[in-house]
Amino acid sequence: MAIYSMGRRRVMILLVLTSVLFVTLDQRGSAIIDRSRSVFALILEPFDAAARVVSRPVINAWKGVTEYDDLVRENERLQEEIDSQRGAEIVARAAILEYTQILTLNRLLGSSSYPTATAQVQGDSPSNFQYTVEIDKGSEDGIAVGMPVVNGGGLVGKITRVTPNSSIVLLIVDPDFSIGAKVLTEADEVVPAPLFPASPTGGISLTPETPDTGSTSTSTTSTTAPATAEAATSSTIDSGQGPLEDLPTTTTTVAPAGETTTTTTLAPPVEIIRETGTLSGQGASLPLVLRFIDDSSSQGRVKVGSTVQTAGGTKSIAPAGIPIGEIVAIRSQSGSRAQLVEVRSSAGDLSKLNFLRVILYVPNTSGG
Amino acid sequence: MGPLVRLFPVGLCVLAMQRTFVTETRVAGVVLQIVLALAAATGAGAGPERGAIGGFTLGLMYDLATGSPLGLTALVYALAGFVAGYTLTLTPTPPWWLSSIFTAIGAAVGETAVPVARTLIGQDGWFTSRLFTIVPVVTAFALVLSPLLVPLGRWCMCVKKPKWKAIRE
Repeated sequence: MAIYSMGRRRVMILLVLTSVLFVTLDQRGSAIIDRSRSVFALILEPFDAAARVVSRPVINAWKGVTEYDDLVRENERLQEEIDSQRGAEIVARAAILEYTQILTLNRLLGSSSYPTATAQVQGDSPSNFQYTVEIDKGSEDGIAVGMPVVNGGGLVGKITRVTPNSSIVLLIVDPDFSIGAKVLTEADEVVPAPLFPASPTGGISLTPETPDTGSTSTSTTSTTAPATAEAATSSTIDSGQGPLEDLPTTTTTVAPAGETTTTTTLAPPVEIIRETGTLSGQGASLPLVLRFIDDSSSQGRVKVGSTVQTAGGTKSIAPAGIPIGEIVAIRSQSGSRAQLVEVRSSAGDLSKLNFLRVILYVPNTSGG
Repeated sequence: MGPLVRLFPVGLCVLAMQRTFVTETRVAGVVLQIVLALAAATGAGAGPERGAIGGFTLGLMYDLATGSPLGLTALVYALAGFVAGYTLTLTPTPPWWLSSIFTAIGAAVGETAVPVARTLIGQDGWFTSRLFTIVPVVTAFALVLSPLLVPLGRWCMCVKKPKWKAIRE
């Protein structure tokens, strides 16, 4: 039999052209192809369900054999993590409550203000070149293409395909995934200096000598009390613990001679640096990569350990403030001013997802 | 139409296995590819043209089911079936082990072609060192399953032994 023949060549050319046609139509967004996918999903559904029922015991046995040791180790590690995080959780809850109150007071929408649909993961991607999971909720539950998907840790991915009863989630580690992200970093601390230093002669000094310094400032006011004052009193508004630590501290002292001294120590104003860029995946075993819009803006300002959140905006698929992860490394690139910022996802191990929440968020493209 | 009538239901069953059982039971973190193995086995059992058409059909079903760009996996699986079909150019009645080897070669070519095809349509980032793990595992899986899949692929494409002789001639 000849390796090359006219018929064989025709067959291959026909198949290649058909493939190119299909790929082109799909990439441009064809309603016919979307409908075909929905119909095929309906046809495949009973086969999937039967295969799931039949294979469940075999899968469990396989995982019991291959993953038992890993599960034991993971269980021990998680138990340690739970113990260490109990204290932090209490503080975090208080902070979340305050944050929600502030958002309500300012009539702002946080990421928790949007309705969500909880879904269970049905299966992983059957391909080695695609990081997706399939969930058991679809368009009948209000899910649409582009909606962000989160778990307890943070952003997991976005919806890329929807059928009436299921959806496909493109995971954040997939190289095709990208989303607008912002980095919030506290500025480096500056040596504290008094904003309004006390006058040597007493009274109020209103001439700031170093107006642009401080993270901490102290003001002192002295007044003359009535001569009847006999006892010395002192009152202190203590900052206490937790979120109140940053409140100003006021100390009032009434001296026996009748002079009242009030000292107010202002908490250091925390300067938050906000950098915006585009975050994308690199694969399951590699960290996420953040590229800044302005190459020079990130230099020396973002730090390892800074938190990364969704940036939001009218064109973003996700509302602002969904946690993505933290910066684990900042690398310089030869021949470029831009820095390569590597981010570790806060969503945990994406190969072991179970329950997810789809945020039913539709971007406000009107800009209003 | 005969081959498609057989291939479609068989493809549905194999695809359902791929999406459930096979995806869950990974080896070294690699998802085994039973649909690709069937596409290559179809070529090894039925020749390059039929292998290409069978692989294309299976790949198209795969694309419809998994949400990958329609036509991309179809092209890759057609290539796998086509390459595996060259076993029949060596001998018209290949022994089972030769068919297995060509099935494995077809699967290796197909799995390697996936990142190439993705890069061609602008989806970068798949050429990593992980390929050196993925391709051998997928190839070995196709090799192991080929004694079962080659007769199945041959049946799907309605190829009988007398027809083989016709191919030879």
